[in-house]
Amino acid sequence: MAVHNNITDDRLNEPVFDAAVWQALNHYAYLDAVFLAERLYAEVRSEEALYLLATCYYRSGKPYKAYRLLKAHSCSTPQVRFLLAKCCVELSKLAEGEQVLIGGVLNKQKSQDDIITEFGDSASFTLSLLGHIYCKTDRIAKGADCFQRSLTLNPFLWSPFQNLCHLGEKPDPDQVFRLSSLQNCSIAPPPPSVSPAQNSSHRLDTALMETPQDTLELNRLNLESSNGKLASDLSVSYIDSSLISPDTGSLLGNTVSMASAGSLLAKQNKPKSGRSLLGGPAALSPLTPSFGILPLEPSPGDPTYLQNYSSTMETQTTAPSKKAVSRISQSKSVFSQSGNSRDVLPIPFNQSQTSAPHSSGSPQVLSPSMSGPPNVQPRRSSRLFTSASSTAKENSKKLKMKFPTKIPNRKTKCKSAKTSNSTNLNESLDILRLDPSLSLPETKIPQYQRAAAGIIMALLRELGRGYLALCSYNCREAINILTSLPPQHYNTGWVLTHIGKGYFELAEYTQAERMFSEVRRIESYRVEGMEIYSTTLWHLQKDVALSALSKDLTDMDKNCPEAWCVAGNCFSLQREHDIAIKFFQRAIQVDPGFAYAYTLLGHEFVLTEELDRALACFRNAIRVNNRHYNAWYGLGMIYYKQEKFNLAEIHFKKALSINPQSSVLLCHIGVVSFHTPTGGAPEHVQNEPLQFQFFRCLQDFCAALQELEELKQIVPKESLVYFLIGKVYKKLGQTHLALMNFSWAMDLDPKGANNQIKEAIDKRYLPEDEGTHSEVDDSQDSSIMTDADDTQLHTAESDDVL
Amino acid sequence: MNVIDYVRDMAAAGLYSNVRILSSLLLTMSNNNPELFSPAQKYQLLVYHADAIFHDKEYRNAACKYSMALQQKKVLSKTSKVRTSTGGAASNIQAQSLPSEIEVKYKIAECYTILKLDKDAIAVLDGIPSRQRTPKINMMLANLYRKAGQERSAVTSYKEVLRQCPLALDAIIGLLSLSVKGAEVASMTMDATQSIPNLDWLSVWIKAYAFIHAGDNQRAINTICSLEKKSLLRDNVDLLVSLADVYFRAGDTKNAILKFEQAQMLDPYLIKGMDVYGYLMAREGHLEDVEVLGGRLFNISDQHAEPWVISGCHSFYSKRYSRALYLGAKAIQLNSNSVQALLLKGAALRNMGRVQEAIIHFREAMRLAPCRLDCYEGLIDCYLASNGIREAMGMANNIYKTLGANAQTLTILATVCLEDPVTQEKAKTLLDKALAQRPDYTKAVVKKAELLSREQKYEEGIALLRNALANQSDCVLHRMLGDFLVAVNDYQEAMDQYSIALSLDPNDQKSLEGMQKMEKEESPTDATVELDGDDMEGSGEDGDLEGSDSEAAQWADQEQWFGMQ
Repeated sequence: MAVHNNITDDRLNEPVFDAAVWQALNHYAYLDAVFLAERLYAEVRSEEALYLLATCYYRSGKPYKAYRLLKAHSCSTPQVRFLLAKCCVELSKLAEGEQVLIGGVLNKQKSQDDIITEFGDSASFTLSLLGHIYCKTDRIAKGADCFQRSLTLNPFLWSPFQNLCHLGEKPDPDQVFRLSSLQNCSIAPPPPSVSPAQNSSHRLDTALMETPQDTLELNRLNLESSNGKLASDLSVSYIDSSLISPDTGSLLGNTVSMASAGSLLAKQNKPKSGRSLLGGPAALSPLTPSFGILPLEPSPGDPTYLQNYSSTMETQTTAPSKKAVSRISQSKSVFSQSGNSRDVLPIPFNQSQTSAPHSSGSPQVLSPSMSGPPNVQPRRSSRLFTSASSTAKENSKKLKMKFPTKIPNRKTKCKSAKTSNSTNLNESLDILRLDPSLSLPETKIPQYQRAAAGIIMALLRELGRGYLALCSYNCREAINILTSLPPQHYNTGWVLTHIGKGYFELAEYTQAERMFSEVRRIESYRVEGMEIYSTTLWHLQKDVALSALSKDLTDMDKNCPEAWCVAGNCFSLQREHDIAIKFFQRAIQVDPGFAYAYTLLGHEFVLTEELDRALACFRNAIRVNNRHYNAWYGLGMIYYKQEKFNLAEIHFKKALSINPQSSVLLCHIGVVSFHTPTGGAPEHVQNEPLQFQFFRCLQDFCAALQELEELKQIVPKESLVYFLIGKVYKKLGQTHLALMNFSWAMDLDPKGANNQIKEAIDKRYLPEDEGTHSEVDDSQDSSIMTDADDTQLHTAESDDVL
Repeated sequence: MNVIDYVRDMAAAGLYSNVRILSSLLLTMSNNNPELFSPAQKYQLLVYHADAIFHDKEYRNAACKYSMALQQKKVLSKTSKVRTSTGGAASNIQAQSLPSEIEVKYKIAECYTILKLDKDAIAVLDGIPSRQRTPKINMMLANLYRKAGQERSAVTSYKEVLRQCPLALDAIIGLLSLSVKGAEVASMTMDATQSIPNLDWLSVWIKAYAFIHAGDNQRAINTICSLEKKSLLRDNVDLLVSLADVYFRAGDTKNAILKFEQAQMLDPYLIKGMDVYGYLMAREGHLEDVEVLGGRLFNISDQHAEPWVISGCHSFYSKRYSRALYLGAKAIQLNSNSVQALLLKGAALRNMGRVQEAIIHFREAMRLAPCRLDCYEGLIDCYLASNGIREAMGMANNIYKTLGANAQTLTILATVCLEDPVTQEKAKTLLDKALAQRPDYTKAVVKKAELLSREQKYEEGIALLRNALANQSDCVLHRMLGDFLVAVNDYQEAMDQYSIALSLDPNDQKSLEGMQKMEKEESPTDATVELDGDDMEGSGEDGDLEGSDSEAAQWADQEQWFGMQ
């Protein structure tokens, strides 16, 4: 590269700079990182520096800075384009993001294969991002395709799967999360099967056109620029590394520094595969801790692996580890100085050396590596990647994999250190433990890693099945699957939230509430799903719990839509509709992509009789997420109120097609189809199964109900008929239908002339309603019945008069 | 020291206002008493005086004064000839220190150019013997020739410039625009550039511009991209603007906008090419951005056509045509070569119903930019507006022949064919051809869909639109799909499509209409409900959560009334 060919004195500092930036980043010192990166970029103005600076901006939570910076410059390398696209998406400039990722010349778009070739290792993330863009711009089929491809490339990715489920696709978790797909892609288990990983990385970086010489040059410079103390350290390591890799030395150069460069190359090469293997599951961070020890299911091969693993662990923490340790730490310090890697952490290594003897086999072997951040981005170290991948190909045979054995750990370790700083010491200990385990005979390594991956995959499959069922509204099935998870996973916020959601969709609100309160107990910081919890509480009329929840969440995070939805629900329950509306609007303001907030706002507007605004809200909800069946239902309700029965039916049917299990929707459709002018034969024939279900619902009624139905035919706009039907349903224990009828009754008589309707609705989930009916209740009911009957008679008379 | 020397020193020091007053006084003195100054001194005085006036931008006055100076010079040369024959070394030295006659002529030409008296300018410069012409003069002459349409003379002059200065890139562009072969131009520069290091991009650069001027957009884009990829030329603003412009010509609006945006981010004072950028953004409906851009450019300079054009585009797309017309005229006044200004004015005239005037403007734009399709499109629209299908057809065929059969020309031709009921079939085959070349070309898809809807082949149309929408999302396409779906009674899907269209462009009137129409068809129960529907859709669609209270009140009233019923 031109910059390095004529390096001036000033530029000697670049790698040092670079290392400093990464170190600052790794220690969350974003201000420092940004400042340093800005200096570095001012100094060299190379594309790497640009990327580094943009990364700093992005990580410090300023995607717009990164966006504007990158936008003003032509971006040629895939990583830069990926980052730019990511920023575009975050700033909701979707078309631009798409253009950045796949925009070819003259509207000719690159195919997915092109993307895979171009982005290589990060293709799975790129495709996931692209899928996101497609979905947001209503190109569902393409988006789904992208997600699928992303998953085949990297089965550790959860969010593409989640998105697929949201799209209404039915990805088969067994197909998606399996190891065989793992083999064929770039995340293959590292050491023995070098070729696949390298192929991909090689492909990735052809754009950079690096040569090994560049890197060597770089390293030499690094060494020169290093200070005396470190230099002396280095000299030790040189001897070591040159001893180990005479081949490298002869191949790459004849100086000591060259040898170290060789080790650097090899080192840089390996970790990539190792990192992505171990970093992948980080997307499921709450699940990780147990991977090292507990097989989730009795899957074949696991026990043997574990035995092997633990035994080697114990035996090998002795002599070989010491040597390995020293080597790691030394070359690490080289590395920190040279700074071509983002994950430089000299400090913990010093600790690791001193504390090494204390470490003995503890179960948490893999934990640090597992807790890495999700969605690892392509990193700056690509320059070394390239040269590494190109040279390592030549060297790999000669070296006999001496370095690679220890390298993945180092890499993973460093990455994890970034996230869990406080456990630096532990991690460095873990390195020591990992090290021997990985210097096992080569044949055992893939087995171990495959087994580890297998466990993760098995878990992902289970979760995937559950999530899929939930998204297809097979709530029972979803609950069954999720509850059968092993306890350490069951008792996590994610799982419990989703079980709660399942109960919520089934309208089993007390169950749902139980789940959610458990979530609150375990993970009080969890906001995802809390909007559902709040609605559950709303249904259950638990205003105290609801306001407590609202207070806690809004105090905790004012920037999440869930908190404001909860607040809105809280006020809605207290009939402060105007305030509720304000809060829902704030939820939308905070996150315009949060469909549920629109729906809640819509319902609130319906309550305040502002139907036009409600319509707009529901439409917006559908625009954000067109599988949000609640919004379709809301629209249908509004049209029903406006007596546009055809439109209402369309919307109800749409909602039903999304959530085919919902009895509420079924009944609505049934009722609506009575009203449709053309609602005669053809419609009914078309929807025979539907009608059948509806009538089956009806058959459960007692005789009185049938009479009421007839009555309803005669006077369809009489609220009391619905009210009575609701009453009957309630007696039959079908709270939902009862509710529906009550709300119809309410709709027809919004001014609340018959106060008992409201009372009945308000009471519907109070304990006395749910438990065995007390006599008081019954008598009350009967009194209302008679009362209502009187009124009914009255109205019938008035009808006659009319 | 002579008083003339003082004047010269002041002129050299740039004290033009002082020179102007002093020289004026001295000249009057000289006129009243010719004996006071020698002819050479008077010549000098006149030139300095003219220079001062030129500096004050009184160009006509300056040209007049320069001519007087030239006249004086003639007298001087006659007398000096006599003197030199007698042998006066001192006068020789003095003659050498006189301002050069050629320079004065160049100044006159410059004045004439600024005054748009191109013919006079050419005449003055032509008067300079070709051996004495400096590169500066050749360059100006070449530009004037090219503008006047004297291509051969222009080519000779440009080549002369290149011979003297092989790296005169503007001359190279001039040559290429006169359809001189790229290889020929490159050969002229090759000798000089081969020895210079790091200039290896020059040949590629020449190639790129050769492609641009030959209308080969695809290869031009590829070449410029390859130039840009070289790290040495990364982020060059001029290249970016050129690239954006070619993207625009090739009909790739998205990329064009991206590149323009990048260019203006790199150089916020960029003016060149911004008119096209503004036009593109206005066409895409980003009117606010256009307004901001216009304001920004006005701050940079209001002496360029670009800010006026951008402002005009903003007016045009907010349907204020007379304002757009005025702004366009102003832009043309500032730069009569501005294609975008001509197009703007033409379009404004056309939309105001003054088709004949519009045609003149489009013709002029066509002459200036023979490779730009929108000139032809504007002209064809004019013809169609004045029922001149035959002329339109002729023009379309002409483009098709001259610019080759690409998706854009095919679509233009098909558009014309669609107007004539006789040539419907031809239009169809043309559109198919266009779509075969570029399946995602939105214009062609829209036209094809229109054709299919006319033929009532709804299923086919739906398939076509769905296909196109698989790769891009476009408000118009979604709306058309909605229309088709209504036609086949698939109201639910149609509703979806309309709402997608509206979410892409909340102000799309046609989608709103389609949706309302559908709701009316849907609920023919009674008049009141329809009314409700209209109100509701009108106010509800824009996603404006605030709304107006009066509307809500109105609603409440209706509700009550409804209840009474």
